[in-house]
Amino acid sequence: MFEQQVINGITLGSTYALVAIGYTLVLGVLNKLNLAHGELFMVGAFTGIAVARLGAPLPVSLVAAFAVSGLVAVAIERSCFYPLRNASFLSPMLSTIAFGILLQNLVSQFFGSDPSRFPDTGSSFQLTLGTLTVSAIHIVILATAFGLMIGIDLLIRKTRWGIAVRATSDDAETAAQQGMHPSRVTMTTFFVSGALAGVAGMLTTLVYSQVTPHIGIRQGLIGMVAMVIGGLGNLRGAMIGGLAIGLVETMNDAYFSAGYRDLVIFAIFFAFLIVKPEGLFPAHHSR
Amino acid sequence: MNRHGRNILFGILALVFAGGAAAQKMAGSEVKIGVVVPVTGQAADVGKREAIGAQAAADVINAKGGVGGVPIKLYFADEGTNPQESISAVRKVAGDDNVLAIVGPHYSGTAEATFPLGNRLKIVQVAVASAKPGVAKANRPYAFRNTLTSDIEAAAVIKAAKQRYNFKRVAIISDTKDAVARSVGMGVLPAALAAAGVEVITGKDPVTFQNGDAQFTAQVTRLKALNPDAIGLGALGPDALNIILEARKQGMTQPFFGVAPLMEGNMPERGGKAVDGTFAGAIWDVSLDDPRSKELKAAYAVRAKTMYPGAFTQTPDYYVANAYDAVFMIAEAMQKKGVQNRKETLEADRDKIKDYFTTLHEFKGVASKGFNADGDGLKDVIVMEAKGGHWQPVGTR
Amino acid sequence: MNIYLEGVLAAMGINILLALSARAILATDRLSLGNAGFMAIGAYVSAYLTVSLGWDLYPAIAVGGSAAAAIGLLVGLPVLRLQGIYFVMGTLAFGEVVRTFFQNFEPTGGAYGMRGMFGTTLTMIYVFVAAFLVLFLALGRSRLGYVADALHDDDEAARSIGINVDLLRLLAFAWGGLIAGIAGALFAHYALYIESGNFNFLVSANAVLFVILGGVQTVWGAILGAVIFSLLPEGLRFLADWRLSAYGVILVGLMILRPEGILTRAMLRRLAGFFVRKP
Repeated sequence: MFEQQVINGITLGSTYALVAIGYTLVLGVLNKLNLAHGELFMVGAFTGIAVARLGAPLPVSLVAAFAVSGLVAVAIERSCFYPLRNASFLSPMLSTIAFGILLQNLVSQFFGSDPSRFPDTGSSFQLTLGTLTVSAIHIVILATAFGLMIGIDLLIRKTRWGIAVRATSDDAETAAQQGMHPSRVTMTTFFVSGALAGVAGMLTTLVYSQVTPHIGIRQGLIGMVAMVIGGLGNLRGAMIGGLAIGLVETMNDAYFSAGYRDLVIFAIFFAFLIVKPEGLFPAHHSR
Repeated sequence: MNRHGRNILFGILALVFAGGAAAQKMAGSEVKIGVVVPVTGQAADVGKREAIGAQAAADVINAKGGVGGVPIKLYFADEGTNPQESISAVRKVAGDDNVLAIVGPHYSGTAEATFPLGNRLKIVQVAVASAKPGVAKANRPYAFRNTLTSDIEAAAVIKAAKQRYNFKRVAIISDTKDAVARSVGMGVLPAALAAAGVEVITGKDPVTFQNGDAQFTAQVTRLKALNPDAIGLGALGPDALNIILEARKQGMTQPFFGVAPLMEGNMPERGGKAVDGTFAGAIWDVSLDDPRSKELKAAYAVRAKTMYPGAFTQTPDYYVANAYDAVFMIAEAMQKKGVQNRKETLEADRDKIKDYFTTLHEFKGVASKGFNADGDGLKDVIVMEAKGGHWQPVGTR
Repeated sequence: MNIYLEGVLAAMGINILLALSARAILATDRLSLGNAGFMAIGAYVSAYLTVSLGWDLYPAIAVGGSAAAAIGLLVGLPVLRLQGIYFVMGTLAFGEVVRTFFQNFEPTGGAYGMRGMFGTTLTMIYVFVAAFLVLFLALGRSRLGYVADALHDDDEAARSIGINVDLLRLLAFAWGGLIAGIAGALFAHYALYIESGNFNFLVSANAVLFVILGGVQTVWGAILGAVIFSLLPEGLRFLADWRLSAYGVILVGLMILRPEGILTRAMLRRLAGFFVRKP
């Protein structure tokens, strides 16, 4: 049973990791705290459901979740951060909470507050290795999540855009002087951040069947915990943080009581902030 | 005249006066009833359905001449699935709109907050979904719940399920967050199973999860390792669906059963074949076709289109029946007790409704018979089985 | 008084206290998203005292508030070492730990919640509001107020003129905890029932929203914010199920239109000039 629980934990953790990476991109790199980040997870889940209901195949749903959540993230940047770029970091942060309330209620109006479910994918494929069973969906999730993690890692380290993002995060003024458009870099970063959360949302719905418009808050908080554990601004740290939280949560439920789960996670969060706020893997350019 | 004769005379006089009061014409141009259900927040959909159900009842009553010739008007206030907001909503309909009684609130968390308030304001509330044990009992005399407590249901469901599946060893999986589902999983099911002579292999420590969880893999892996004959669910419908689907994914074939919380969220429609054979207890279902149920469904269909035209509010569930019946019960109380519906008699009128409910045991509703001494609903249990994408009654009603 | 109005005013009074508690901490240039935690401590401690131990309400409120303040001192020591976003997250984590603790803590009802509290009146709430307001105004005019202003501008400058910055922040954090704790105690005995979900992170966020939208520069801004944003959701009731969507849009829009908050110092001065005739 233990090996099965490890696989369960890694699958869950890989979706947390996607949320955490998006979080850490915006916070660690742009120094902006988007408290509606969890809602992007929710928006992605519902976008995936809406597209799948139209009869589209799985990859189309994934792309739609990616795009819509990315665009909503850009909308958050344009309405909560950009107009308040000269205020302290507190005002936009609170504005994102209000934006989150709006998103929750809009989705609730259009999809209902009862749980929505991803249409049956019709796949009953299962990989059986000894006592372990891994379903096709789990494989899709793991492959997509890890594919995206590696992709984003390469994107940040090897591409012009990645260089621009890192330069902007180190010194926005110098970067601008060198011809990098800070506003454009910010918007694209938000897009990628939201898109990853959206994919995570869709993947989660796919395997765990149902979502409600109110799941975003917890997903956002868990993403934040994973981000802090991994070290603010460190993408690889966020991945490891996400996987760690997934494992902790699964093991807690398997061998302890689910009632204590959030207490355990938030206690770890609190302890990290007090004892090791820089996280397990401090970013080079953390502020 | 001897003492006996005098008593008879007083008795006759009292009857005449009571009859006179009842026959007195209602004043005013409308009879006000408050409806405090959620139309925002987590229970927005089910709350909207309850609102439609209450309005459907008012429509049916008004089409037959209203209460004592005066039409019912409902005053709605959103309780937001939130205790603080529900307090404000009850205060609004009771204090601002001056309603005679209130249908609602929806669930136990809000009822806990508004029931004590109702006692202070001396106004009847009839909760439509709250099933957490003891909530109405703790708030006598104005708090009522037109819902069935889970222990009675559990006994009936276990009896029927045991007959079908002949299980001897049962594992229980329980919510730790939602108070009702938790009380089912932690208390009601273990007690009812023990009473039915079934071994609970999870003992005092059921497998646990939290309401609204996105994944249940860890829990199901644990259940599978226990290898029970059947699994008892202390879970709300949406969570239960996820649990069963995950169990089928992991290759478990055992049957599941639970009580009323399972009926939330159209589990058979959403789960299809995977949930076939799941047993639950209910007090009403949209598949029932007796005349009163038909009347409800017809009136509901009309109102659903105008009030909340969204797809997720078009099918009535048993909460709708509870809200629908609650309006009828209030109307009957007003008629039978001779409510006058004047500004000066507001307090007395509210009290009359409370008095009527205290002794109401033989009401003939869609799915309601009145209230017990604790203020909880008296209802028949229908054992239901998920079959071919719908809940269907097991055997005869 | 109309009982609906009474209820709205009571909720507003408690929101004003929460806004003051957020402002107490914000005045030292730190934003706490964990004040719901203090509120929970005040609520549960006082409720345990009155319901389980049969205490009178006033001593229970005092002890509930003090307990929150004491936890504030204890938690403040490590948390206040954090800065900026880290401090925000640290307080958020604190609030969530407190909430999940009470969700599991059986002596105060756990997931079942707690009932049996009563006794908070509208007058009581506003006596506390008035008392704290007077204290805030007095503190603002005292040397401490100027010191807090200095802190807001520059830590190093404040240190250089001999101010113990860390001690001041710690006291402000505990002071905010005290106010939120008392708000929680009043809330518990007004709402008549409490459960851990009443003290979630959105409650903390609201408290700060009141202050930021009302105006951070003066204590009146915090009060104005709490008043407006307690009335707004009630005023939007006519929108039925679109109510909260509209609330979200209005908040985001207001933040764009008035990033400094509704009430600024300059505006107060202008208002004062309008009312006080100059010779």
